[in-house]
Amino acid sequence: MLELVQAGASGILMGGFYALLALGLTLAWGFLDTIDFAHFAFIFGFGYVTYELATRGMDPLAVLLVVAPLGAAAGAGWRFLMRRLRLDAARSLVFTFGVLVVFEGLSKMVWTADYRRIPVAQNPYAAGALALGELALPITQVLSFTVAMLVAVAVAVWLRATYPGRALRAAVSDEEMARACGADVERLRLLMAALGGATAGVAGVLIAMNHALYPNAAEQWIGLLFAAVILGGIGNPAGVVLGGMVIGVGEAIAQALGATAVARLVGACALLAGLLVRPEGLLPSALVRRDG
Amino acid sequence: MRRSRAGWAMGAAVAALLAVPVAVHRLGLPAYYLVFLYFFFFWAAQATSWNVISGYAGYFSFGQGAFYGAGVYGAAVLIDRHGVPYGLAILAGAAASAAVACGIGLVVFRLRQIRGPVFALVTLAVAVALHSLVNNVGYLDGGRGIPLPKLVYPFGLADVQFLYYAGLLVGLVAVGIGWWTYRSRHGWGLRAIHDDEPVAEGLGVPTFAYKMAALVLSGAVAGLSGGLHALQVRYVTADAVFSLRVPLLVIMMCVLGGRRHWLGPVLGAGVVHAINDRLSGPGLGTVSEVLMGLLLMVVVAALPEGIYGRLRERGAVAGAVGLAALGMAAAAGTGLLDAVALGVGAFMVVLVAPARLSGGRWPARRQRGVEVTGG
Repeated sequence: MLELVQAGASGILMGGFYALLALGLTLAWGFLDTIDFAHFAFIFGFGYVTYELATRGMDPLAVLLVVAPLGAAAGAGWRFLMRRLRLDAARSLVFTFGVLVVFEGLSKMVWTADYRRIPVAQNPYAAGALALGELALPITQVLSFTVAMLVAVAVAVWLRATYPGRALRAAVSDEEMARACGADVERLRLLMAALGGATAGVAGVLIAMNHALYPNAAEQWIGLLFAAVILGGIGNPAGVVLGGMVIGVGEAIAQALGATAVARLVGACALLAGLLVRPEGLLPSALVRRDG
Repeated sequence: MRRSRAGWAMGAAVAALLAVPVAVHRLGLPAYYLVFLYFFFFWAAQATSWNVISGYAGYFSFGQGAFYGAGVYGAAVLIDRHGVPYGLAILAGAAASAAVACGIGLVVFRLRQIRGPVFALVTLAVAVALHSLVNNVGYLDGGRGIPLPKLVYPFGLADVQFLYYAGLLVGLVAVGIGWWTYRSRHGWGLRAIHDDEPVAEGLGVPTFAYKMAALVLSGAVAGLSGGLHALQVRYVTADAVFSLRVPLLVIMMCVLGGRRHWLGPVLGAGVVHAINDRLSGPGLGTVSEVLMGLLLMVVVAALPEGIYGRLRERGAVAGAVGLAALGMAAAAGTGLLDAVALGVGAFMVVLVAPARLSGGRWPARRQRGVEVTGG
């Protein structure tokens, strides 16, 4: 029994981490009409940046302060380029897939195909664990969970309660009308892209702290994270958290029951089952599309 | 008149291809030419398979690796674990792959919501799931890989020659299916689904049946070609089989060649394979990966219709330039395959060059509101 509780707890922590990684994806898909494989390139690119800075003696958490603004700038720049290209969602999927492939190749040239991990001496958070009763919660996971929750809640509130967020949601449901009401939609999208880029920066730091980096690492995450996005309802930050947790807990419990083969399938199965039961996502998409 | 001429051209091409191994043997040319052509047949079959569902019907798939992998593993497991004759095993691989396709279709096509990007991601999820299944189930692989025994081929054919002829046969079957689907009522239906599915359905196109048929055909072809490829690879590992390489290259080939015509994937396979083959030497693998990614980006952004459309406008010029480059390179003493790759490169540059990097449009692109601020 304790094992299952432990599995559930680490599943929830892992799910929060998934949500952080997938947040930028769901926002870009919902609000920018871009299915952004390049987001993985950003995450792992910033992961490698974190690795470089941390091995040179910088505290990984201090790296956050450098990388998050960098991510925001990169996200905005990327959006600027994508807007110039005027790709629809399907073509953006292929285009950004190409970007990811190029990134993998380049990072293979720069960092070789070896696994890179921040040495424990430079990563003081890697070793410890919080004891909660009889549960052991690794500090890095608690950290990434907390950061993920803070970011997701902030974005959800921003979308619901502030002018830019509401204007963006209005633009998704009827862009013409939103423009007519005076919303500078394109600038707001740039802001949204910057936000997504910043989450990629944060995710990059946390992934470098928690995992080994290697050029093809993104391929492990793609299916899982898009499953969380679709499960949660496209464009819905609260939904992506829920989707991430469903997958994280499912995986952890399957692993605790000794079914490692099944654990890796949980993401795909959850996605298929979710689509069968609730095709619109567990939580409704935050968006109402005019063209259905 | 046109049609019969095209028929003659096809017949001549097939006859020439049948004679190549004899010529290579008689003239003492490197046997690698046969391997090179085998890989062309393989990629043409895979690309055509993808194009039947993803090109004609517009159901863009990232799951080619799942079909290909089901074929490879279906054949490899039967040969290695049960000693099944390789011919039967390859057919069983095709059946396994068709079954995977059937399963996906039964789930996915019942849900109207799964269109466009969501379909692409679902297929990707299936491929990833199969990958981890194969990696974790000992009977299938369990992470050790499957080495295939040395097989004895009929008529005293050497490995290379047998694979050449079998690959040619599978390639012809695949392209034949692509051609037949393209011309038949089925193809018209698929193109109608691509352009506007609700309207097609309203006009009486049996969309579910057509999509299922296309997906299962696609799976069967990919599995057939994958099963044969297990014999070529000889040592099957899950990480290699299910890597993103197969879907990436197949998408490249079709996007490059043109997805609305049966010849597009074949053209794309030829171009991509000729260039990629020359870049796959030691140390160049990463370079070729980067180059392919860049090429994919440029083609998607600048040439959404693929080169098939361009071929009508300036195919003759591009072909002449390509042949000239090939001839010059050959005369300058480079290897034949290097010269071919250079020629193909020159051909591509002429075809693609004047395309603007922005403003390309897909035919079925919907108007999404009026630009008020005007960018």
